[in-house]
Amino acid sequence: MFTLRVNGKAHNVDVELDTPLLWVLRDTIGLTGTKYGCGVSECGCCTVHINGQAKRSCVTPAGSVVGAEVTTIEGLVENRSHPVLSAWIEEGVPQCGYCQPGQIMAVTALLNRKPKPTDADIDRDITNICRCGTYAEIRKAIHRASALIAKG
Amino acid sequence: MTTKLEMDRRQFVVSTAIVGGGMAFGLAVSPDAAAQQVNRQPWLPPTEGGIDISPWIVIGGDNSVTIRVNQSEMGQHVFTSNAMMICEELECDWSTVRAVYADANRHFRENRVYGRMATNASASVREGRVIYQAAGASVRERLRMAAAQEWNVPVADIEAKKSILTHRPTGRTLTYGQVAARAVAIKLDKEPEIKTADKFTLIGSRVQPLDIELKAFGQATFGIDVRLPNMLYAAIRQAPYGGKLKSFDFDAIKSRAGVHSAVPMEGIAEFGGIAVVADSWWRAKTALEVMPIEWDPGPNAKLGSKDIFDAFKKKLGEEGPGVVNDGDFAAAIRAAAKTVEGDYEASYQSHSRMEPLNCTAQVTANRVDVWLGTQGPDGNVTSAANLTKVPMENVYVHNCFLGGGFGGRGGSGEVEQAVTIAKTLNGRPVKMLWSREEDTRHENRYHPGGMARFRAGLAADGTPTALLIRRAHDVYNSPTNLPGMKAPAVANSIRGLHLLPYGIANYRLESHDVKSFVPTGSWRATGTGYTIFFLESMIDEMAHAAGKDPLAYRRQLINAARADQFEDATAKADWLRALDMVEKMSDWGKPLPKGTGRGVAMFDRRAIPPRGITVTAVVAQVTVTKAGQIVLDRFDFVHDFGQAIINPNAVERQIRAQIPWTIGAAMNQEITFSNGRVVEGNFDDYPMFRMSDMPKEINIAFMKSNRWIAGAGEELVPPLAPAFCNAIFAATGKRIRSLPVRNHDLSWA
Ligand code: FES
Ligand code: FES
Repeated sequence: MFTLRVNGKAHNVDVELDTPLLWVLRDTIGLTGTKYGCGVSECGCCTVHINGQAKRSCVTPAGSVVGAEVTTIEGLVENRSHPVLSAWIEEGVPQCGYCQPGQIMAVTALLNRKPKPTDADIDRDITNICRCGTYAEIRKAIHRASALIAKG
Repeated sequence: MTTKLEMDRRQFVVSTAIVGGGMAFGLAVSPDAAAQQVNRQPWLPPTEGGIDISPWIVIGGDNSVTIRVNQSEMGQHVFTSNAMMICEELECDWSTVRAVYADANRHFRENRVYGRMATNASASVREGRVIYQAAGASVRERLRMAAAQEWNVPVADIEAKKSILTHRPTGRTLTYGQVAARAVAIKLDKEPEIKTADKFTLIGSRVQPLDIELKAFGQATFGIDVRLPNMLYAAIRQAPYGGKLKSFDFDAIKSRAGVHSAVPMEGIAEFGGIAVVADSWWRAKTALEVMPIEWDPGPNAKLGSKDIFDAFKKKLGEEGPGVVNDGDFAAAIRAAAKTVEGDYEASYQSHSRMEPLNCTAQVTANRVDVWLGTQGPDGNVTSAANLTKVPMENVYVHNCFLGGGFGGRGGSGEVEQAVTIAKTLNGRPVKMLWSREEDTRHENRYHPGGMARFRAGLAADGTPTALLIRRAHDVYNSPTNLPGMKAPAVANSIRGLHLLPYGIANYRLESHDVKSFVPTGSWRATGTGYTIFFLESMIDEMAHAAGKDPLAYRRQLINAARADQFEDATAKADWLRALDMVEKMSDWGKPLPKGTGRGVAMFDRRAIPPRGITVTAVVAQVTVTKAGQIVLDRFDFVHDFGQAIINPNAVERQIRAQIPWTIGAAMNQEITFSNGRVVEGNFDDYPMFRMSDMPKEINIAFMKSNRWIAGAGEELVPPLAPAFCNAIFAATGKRIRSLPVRNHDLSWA
């Protein structure tokens, strides 16, 4: 049994320390917004923030984040007017929607570090897969979110 | 990247304004979750209660309208477009519209009331529009009659608009919610006519999808997200193709934490294998990985890609059944001034939906429940009933959001497997989930590979006088015989080649079916995903051999075609119009630097039997670096608009999104086989298209036409790959005759 801090709350979990954080979030704690796509750090569907940094939770052992602050999409949407969420709705990004929580977590981390990313920054940083192919809309939404942030 | 929409009103229709009663695109996020227009669990209505006025429509006491949608939501926004088609006729206030899945159980209880529940073949709008419009119009008339009864006035004096019924002479009003209960009992003598496109006020507007927030906020329930009290989890491994489970040693894993049982999955044909059940999926998966399992590998144990493609190659050397035989190919090729020939090859593909296949099931003595994202909920009811002997009226399929469909989701064994496991669990629910590796290696419905040989004869002036196309291909699991064809053939393997849009006097099409051990099935655009790659590349080769510009050459060949080579009266003219449009918008002919080239391709769907078309034309522009790296510069699309498109936002997104799907496959993706098994397992060896691969510029022009288009979700998959490969040829002089492109060295000096 160990304790994880997720979205500001403490959760006691009874799993092996090497269980990937993804499965602890989804199956043990019941936060299913974080998705499984590949399990090998290729797709980014499972992206969460660990102390504000984007991390792929499918390859992050739960035991390695004890004491850290984990934020999932559920935590992010507590602020429904978050600029990234607003931009996502305004650009109508999602198709099937499955990859989108991971995309949004990756993008918010990028914008926290770099509020005005260039297209090259986006190409380099946003490597999440979207099988539906919403990349054009994602890029537009990132620029829109960046503008919203600048406006304050 | 920029996306430019053409605005030339003479030929193009692109509405950028928000029109009609549509919710403004770009409206702010709604302040509270209660305003949800689709339930997080989409098989449940967003709000309970209301008057069930039709199988399709519920009117709430709060004057809301909930529309039951008989198609599955997998990214194409059917909850929105199908609801729009009803709202258009019902004259209800769009801001009050909600949507929910139609219930497959009710479908069977009420004599298949929801008609076509399978979501495939781009048919949601094509086959649903008239039904949805009629359902909306019918209820609107009943509401008007109810108001007339209420006031005891002639129905002709009642106007229905924005969910309000107004008695014109007096200005009195009632809401839909106020008269719905009375309207339930009203029967119409005659169903009303439905609106023609010129009368639409909502259809064609850019509305925001009803479920956009759910999807952006991570609140949409996909099959993988279903959680039930006391639920167990299962990880599975399927038997090799043609093989079966021989033995397994559960004792070796049974003391691992959380492990519950191992369940051999038998009696479900090719979907069989072994499952490990545990209290979490991770524990089930890791236990499965170490459990000793012995397989009877069956007859395919030694077979691989080379065997499959060798069999195709052998058949390419043999004359095949002549499926089409126009004129006299043999004589014409002998008389030709010049000949061109080559062999083409396309690889097997996996769907690799972002959400791996899964299904949750609960089986009790007299009731079965399954939860999954499925393209065929009605079919799932039947299979679950068959497997459990529980009558269909007691089988409930709770359709979820689909994390990608692309053909066959829900029909790839998920239901059979989950139900088989659940049967052993005394009523406890179980969530069965395939790992990504299982999903890539054993998806049960691969897009089949195949080859095509062509031989063309040209006259001295370059005009093609003879063409032979000989196909040798793996076949779709469910072959469709072509009506009226002289020899039996498989529609999907030759579709698009059976009726060319080009005037070539002596044309022969031969087709060899070479069934492999690989299970195959529908993939986005089905067989035309490769037949049009072959055809449009071959036409390009012929143009090159003729010394002609490939776009001008196509114009010449379309002009030379007979009218009956096209599905409807204006199609030939529309092909020519689309070609003119794409020529102009792509700056065709404008000089490009060395290493950069443009390629063109066209398609209109060419369905068998005919069921409507969507005329499209694509110009791709690519740069190939000296090192052989491909950069996508620009794509220009002309897309048939028909008389109307329900939601242009959704369609434009589908158009752009077919680039990653198609170019990703053409560039990098290939499922290969060795020792009877699929080699690739995850996105490291089956690489996906990513953000950095996107073209810098995408331009879309809609072409208005007289028809209702056949669809918009997959129509560009066929022409995109050849346009791309033709552009590579223009850039490098290297002809891509086999996919994926990554197998070719494109470097140049
Ligand atoms: S599931 Fe973690 S990167 Fe794909
Ligand atoms: S929206 Fe479907 S995978 Fe990205």
